Amino acid sequence: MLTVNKKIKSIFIVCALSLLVSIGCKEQISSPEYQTLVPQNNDTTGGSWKMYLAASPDDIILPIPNATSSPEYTAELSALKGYINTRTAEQLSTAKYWSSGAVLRWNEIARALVAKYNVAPPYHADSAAKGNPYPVLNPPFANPPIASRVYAYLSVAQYDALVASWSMKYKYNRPAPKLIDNTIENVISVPAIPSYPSEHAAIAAASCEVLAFFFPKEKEYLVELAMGHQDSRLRIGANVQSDIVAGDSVGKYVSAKAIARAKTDGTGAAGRADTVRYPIPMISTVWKSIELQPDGAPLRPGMLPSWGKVKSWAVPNVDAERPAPPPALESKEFKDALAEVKTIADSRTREQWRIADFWADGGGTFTPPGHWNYIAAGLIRKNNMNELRAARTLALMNISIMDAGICCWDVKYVYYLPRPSQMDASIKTATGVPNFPSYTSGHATFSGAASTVLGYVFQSEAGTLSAQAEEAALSRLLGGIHYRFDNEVGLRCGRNIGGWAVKLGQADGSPQ
Amino acid sequence: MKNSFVPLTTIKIIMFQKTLLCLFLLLLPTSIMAQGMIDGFMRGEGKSVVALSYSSESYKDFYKNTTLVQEPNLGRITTTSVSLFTAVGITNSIDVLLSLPYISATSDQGYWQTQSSLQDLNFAVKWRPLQVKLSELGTLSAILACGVSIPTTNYVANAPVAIGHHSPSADARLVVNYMTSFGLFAAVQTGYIRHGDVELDRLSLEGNMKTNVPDAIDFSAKVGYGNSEFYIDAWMQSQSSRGGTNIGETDASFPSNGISFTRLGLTGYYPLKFIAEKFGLSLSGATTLNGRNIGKSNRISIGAVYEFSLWN
Repeated sequence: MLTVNKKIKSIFIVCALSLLVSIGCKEQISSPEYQTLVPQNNDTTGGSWKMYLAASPDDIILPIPNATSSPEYTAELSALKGYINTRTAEQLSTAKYWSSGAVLRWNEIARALVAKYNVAPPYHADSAAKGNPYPVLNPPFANPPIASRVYAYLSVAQYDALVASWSMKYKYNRPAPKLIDNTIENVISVPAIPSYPSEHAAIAAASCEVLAFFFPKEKEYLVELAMGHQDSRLRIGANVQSDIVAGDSVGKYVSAKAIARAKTDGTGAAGRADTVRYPIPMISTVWKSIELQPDGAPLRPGMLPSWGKVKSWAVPNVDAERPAPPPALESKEFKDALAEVKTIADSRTREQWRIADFWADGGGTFTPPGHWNYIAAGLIRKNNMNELRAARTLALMNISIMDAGICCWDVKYVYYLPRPSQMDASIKTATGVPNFPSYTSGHATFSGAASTVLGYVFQSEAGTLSAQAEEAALSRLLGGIHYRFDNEVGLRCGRNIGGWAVKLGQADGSPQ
Repeated sequence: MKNSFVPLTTIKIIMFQKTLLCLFLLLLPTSIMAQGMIDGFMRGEGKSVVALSYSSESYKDFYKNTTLVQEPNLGRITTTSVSLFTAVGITNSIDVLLSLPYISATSDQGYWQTQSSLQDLNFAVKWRPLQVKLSELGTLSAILACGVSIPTTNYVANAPVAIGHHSPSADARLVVNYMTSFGLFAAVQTGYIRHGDVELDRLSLEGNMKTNVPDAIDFSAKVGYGNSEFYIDAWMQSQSSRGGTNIGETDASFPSNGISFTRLGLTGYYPLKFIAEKFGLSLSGATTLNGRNIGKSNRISIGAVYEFSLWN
């Protein structure tokens, strides 16, 4: 036994040592690093593309930029060299961060904020006494429809800010600082487009303002980000100060327009249970919350009963998108659909669970609209889209996703179809049961719209995107919280809704 | 054994050591944390034990971070497990240990699916580099142990009702044990548990499909008494996580939660010689005093233990 003894001792010592050595150097999983954006093209005619919020870029009055030969510009150049010469390592890394794609970075920030605020408000006894048992004490409750609104307004504001910036860039044609003074070097690649106004400054101002409107408690954090973003363009010599100031004005102009629309889009009334659009359900057994509450607390009202009344973007008439009613609860068709959910729940495979969890995007996450923004961001990066093209893609997709939510929530609170587990409590799920009616599936509708728009923009990916949408829709049946017809009808509606945004894209003046 | 030079108390100790196998059972349901196999005694060369145990653990209150809460949509979560454990003494100062539990977790409210699967295979090596007879009264020994824990199936880790975190892990431990010649003993143990990343079914904010699991530092103390007729001990275990997220935190998956706890427990063993010479039953119970991101659970376990000699 002696040799065995020695061998085991040495194995033992190696194990113990390697474990000890590994303590303290545990590698944390970090965000992916992205390359600096080197756009495929510059879309020089982008200033003529159709805007969402302003009639024309000419509505925005900017000072005429000083000539590059003027003493004012020379003074700006010398100040710029000061910014570059005093640049810290941290400022350089900030500049790298934003240079990988500012539209996408602000989109990521929005996704993180949505995840942070995607928490259903708990029962609140004091407030219950005043008739509001589930108050949103830390607004917003960034559930999927509310998240879709954040992404839509953010993307629209970014896009409009960039159309206006592009228009003025090619109107004034102010060259980049390094083209005027060859001692200025860009340590990070800067797109070869005119520099007045700075597109980065416009994105920063528009994004910051819109996000601060939706997430009032995050204002300080957002302003700090935006200031760092704008400063980063000076630190790498991409723009002079007046380029930044002008870009900031553009961003603030369009964000004010966006916020004005948001204030009157009907969201304020959408969460109130007393403003249900169709108070008399059209089917015999109505949906009710199956969420259990602490002792003494009332049932949680359905989420956003009047969301169907919110102002849409591309869809001209929400009522016209509404599908036929679901099968009657007494019908064979319905009973068969319920039995299918039960069969799947009782024999759910690990792979079915994986699909359900992959697309669930429930509480505490960036929601299904955020998942599609994640997918879109990957395609935008893969195609090296310039900032304007990236914003156009996200705007088309996100207005369509918001439209999808509006149309779907309209359907939910017309038909009030109970969830499978409400019809058969023995149906166990692989994801949380959402607190609103079943028909149609929000995931399916969001995914139908998003995949249609992305398939139009990225035509070679259309097949993959469509398959992803189908899997997202199916995931709700596999998860045990939707009937197959919820998903199929939702997906079909979503694709139709996506078609309206595609029409906008086809008519927006872009070369696509 | 009949050698007249061996004092009676020593004989008792030898016999007593052989009954200590039941210690291995007491923490097995907590093998979710990949621990509990290591104690302050060695099997002896060629000696082996196999134990089969059943445990039931449940809670209604749980610590969300460190605040005690309930979730009406989960109600009471009950975890039952059947564990197979075996240990072999390779030499008098080296043991190898192996355990594998089958676990089922279910909630009595809400709609989350029950999870049942084989969980993690735990393998450990124990080495006693030091054993000093301090006086006629007792023996002091030091034991080093090193273990790994590897998920054996692709069980669901990221759900409110789950059987484990599906994190491959490794741990290193030091046990100091003092055993008196009249059957009383005391042991302290400290260890570091290193957890590997967990593959998730879903995206994180950054688009990763995996998450970190925080490491943990473990400390326990135990006192007990045993003779050839029975064995009993009482223990306290305290584990603290190094960082980690909290339940309900933004984008936090369950495996990334920092889990800490203090538990108290009792173990008893009684030989059933009418069944077999080296056969007995163990019974143990444990309760959670406080914690972080863990259920305030109570647990009861029962085990059948059989000892045999492989060689020697």
